[in-house]
Amino acid sequence: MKRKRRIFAFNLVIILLLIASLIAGCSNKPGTSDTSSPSNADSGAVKKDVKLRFSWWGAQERNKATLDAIDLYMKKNPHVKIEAEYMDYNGYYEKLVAQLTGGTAPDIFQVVDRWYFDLAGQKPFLLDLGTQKDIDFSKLDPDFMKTQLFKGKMLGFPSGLQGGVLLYNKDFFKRFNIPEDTVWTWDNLIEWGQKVHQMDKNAYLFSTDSDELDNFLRSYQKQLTGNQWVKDDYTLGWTKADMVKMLSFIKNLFGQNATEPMEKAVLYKNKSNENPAWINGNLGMQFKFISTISNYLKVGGHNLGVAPLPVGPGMKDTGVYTGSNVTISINANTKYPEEAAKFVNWMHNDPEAISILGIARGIPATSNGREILLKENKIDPLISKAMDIALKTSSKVLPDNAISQNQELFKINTDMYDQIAFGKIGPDQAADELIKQYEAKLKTMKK
Amino acid sequence: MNSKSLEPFKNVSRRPRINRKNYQYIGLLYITPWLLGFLILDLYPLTASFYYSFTDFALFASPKIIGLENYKNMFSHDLNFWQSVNVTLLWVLIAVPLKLSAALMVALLLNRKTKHINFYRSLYYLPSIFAGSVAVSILWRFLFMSKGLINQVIGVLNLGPIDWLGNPKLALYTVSLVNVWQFGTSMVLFLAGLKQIPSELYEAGKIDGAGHFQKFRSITLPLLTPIILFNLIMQSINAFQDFTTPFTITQGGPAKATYLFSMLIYDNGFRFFKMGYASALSWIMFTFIIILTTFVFKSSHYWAHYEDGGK
Repeated sequence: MKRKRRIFAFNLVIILLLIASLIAGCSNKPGTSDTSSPSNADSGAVKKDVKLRFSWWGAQERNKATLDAIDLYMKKNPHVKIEAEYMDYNGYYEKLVAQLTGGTAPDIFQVVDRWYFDLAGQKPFLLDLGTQKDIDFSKLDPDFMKTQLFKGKMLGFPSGLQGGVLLYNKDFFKRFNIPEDTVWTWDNLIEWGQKVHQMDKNAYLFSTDSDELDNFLRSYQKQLTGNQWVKDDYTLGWTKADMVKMLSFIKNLFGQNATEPMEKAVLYKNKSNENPAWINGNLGMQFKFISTISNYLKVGGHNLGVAPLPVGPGMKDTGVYTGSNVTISINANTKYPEEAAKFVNWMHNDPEAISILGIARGIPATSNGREILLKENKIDPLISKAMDIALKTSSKVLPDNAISQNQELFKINTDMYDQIAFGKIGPDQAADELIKQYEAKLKTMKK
Repeated sequence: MNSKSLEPFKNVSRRPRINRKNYQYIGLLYITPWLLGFLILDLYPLTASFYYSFTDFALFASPKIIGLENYKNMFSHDLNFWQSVNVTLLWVLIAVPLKLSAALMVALLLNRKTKHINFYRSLYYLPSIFAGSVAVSILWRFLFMSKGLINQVIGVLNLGPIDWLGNPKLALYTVSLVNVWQFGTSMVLFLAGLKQIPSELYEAGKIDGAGHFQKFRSITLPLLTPIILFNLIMQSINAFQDFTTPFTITQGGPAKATYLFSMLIYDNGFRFFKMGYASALSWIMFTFIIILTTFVFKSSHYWAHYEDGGK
């Protein structure tokens, strides 16, 4: 009997241990817990060991440069250990949001400013960097700084500049006798496209997909109206006539064979540098953000040029987007806000860091960053020229406000552009449908 | 089982000193971790999602009860809802029968006594081990790209190139091929079913002069119906919930041609952060699967054959 009881007790202990470990495993929330712990590492004579997690997305170059920079920082600050968590862009945002709401997000992470609307809503997930005395903003252009504020707060340090341009293949232009100094308009883009395709059935002047068209049309809309896409009072920044005009542009682009058929282009969404038709020189021109140009420079045997975006008569704004490429934000729940701030500052203001990071996150937004990289010849002349073009004609309206950048509205747009590109719906009907869907969605957003 | 093999159990039950009550507690205690796992990781999310389905839950804010609003919206306002219902039904109708036929065909081929047969069986099971793997999905995507292997092969025959994944009319079929290729689990079950069919029946058929096809139609197929029923139900349930492979290959495109219901849930939950709405969608899917499964079960009285009459 005694023995049996002992076995029973033993079993009980084992099982209770199992349960305890299960519960412990479920309830552990690093990052949010223990906010009361001393965070000022400077106050003591001996610096306390600090572990920071830093996540970003990017291609190999960005990953390597960032890892090198982290190594150097850790060497210079032996008490800081930085864990790098890097991945592809696909799924990054979804993962970050899950981490933030679950309390397991990194201390420092890379974001784009259009996410601020969600990330700085009712629960503030992002630290206001303006409250951190260790971060030096003096090397950012004051006008540019203003565009980076969200409700008066500086939620991320802009790493690089961004802008929209047309990227073209010079040899393709020569082949079809297109003058390089053509001033592109929304109309002559289609006219030239028709000519090109008539001369060679395998060649298309343009190539784009619905994600890209969303940005392209936002430029068109600024020119037509001078408004935000959705105004601050939750009303539409365009009329039905404007929308029909824009959607007709898409219809003609695909219908007149001015652009590569969507069936082919859709396979290379966000990576048209891998599109065989572009690599073989059968595509002439694309609308691109400057941060992606370096991917196109790597395609062998191409002679590339950049041109300003298409224009139209009676423009109310240039519609040329310039802004930040990515920003580096700090988790509002980090245990070590000061240490995180020091690292973010070092990344953007330290000459050594600037040199190592190069243009991994675009042309630096800081003036000293640009100076150092230009001196070291780390900015490709084509990228530098593209930035000049974009900055010279920079829009007064773009970037769009946060409402306009809502992900659900974005999906409404891209779904509709897809339908038009595949010829499933006409511009007039599509505009009606779009307005209906926008009004329904905006009503729920306004609440 | 003969009486000899039961002997050890008899001994156990004859032991007089074991307190039956105590014995049961120990059993319960042993399964406690799993029970807790079920309660915390299955039952709790299930009930919670049912509650959330009646709320407006933006993930960043606390949930607000809005009654049946989510369910109403889904049927009246959400255009994507009907689109994805159509796509999902088509997907199940294509993928499940194709997969089961492929599984049955391979099982028939592998149901023979030849050298290395176990090696071949393992080989055909391999794709199922990779099932849901992102790497395989990406590989599949490469195969069907404009300059992919498939187009190069048919190019030799002066055909194509075909936009397998870019053409909205073809994309769903192309993606369902990956699914068909992962027939391993059903195949193993079919194989086990085939082994159960008494060889006397085939011998009798042979004596009566039945050909291969007749034997298959009149002996194999009827006796396999219980397995077919099981596979049909399991694979349909899986197909309704398919996500990883189609999402990796097409992300629901082109023009929403492969926008499965699971992607609609994903988009609402993790892209638009409408957790309440996503929960409501999940419950609709759950209900639909239950109804369909019940229907298949009920209908099986008319077509599934059991040796004991199904009692």
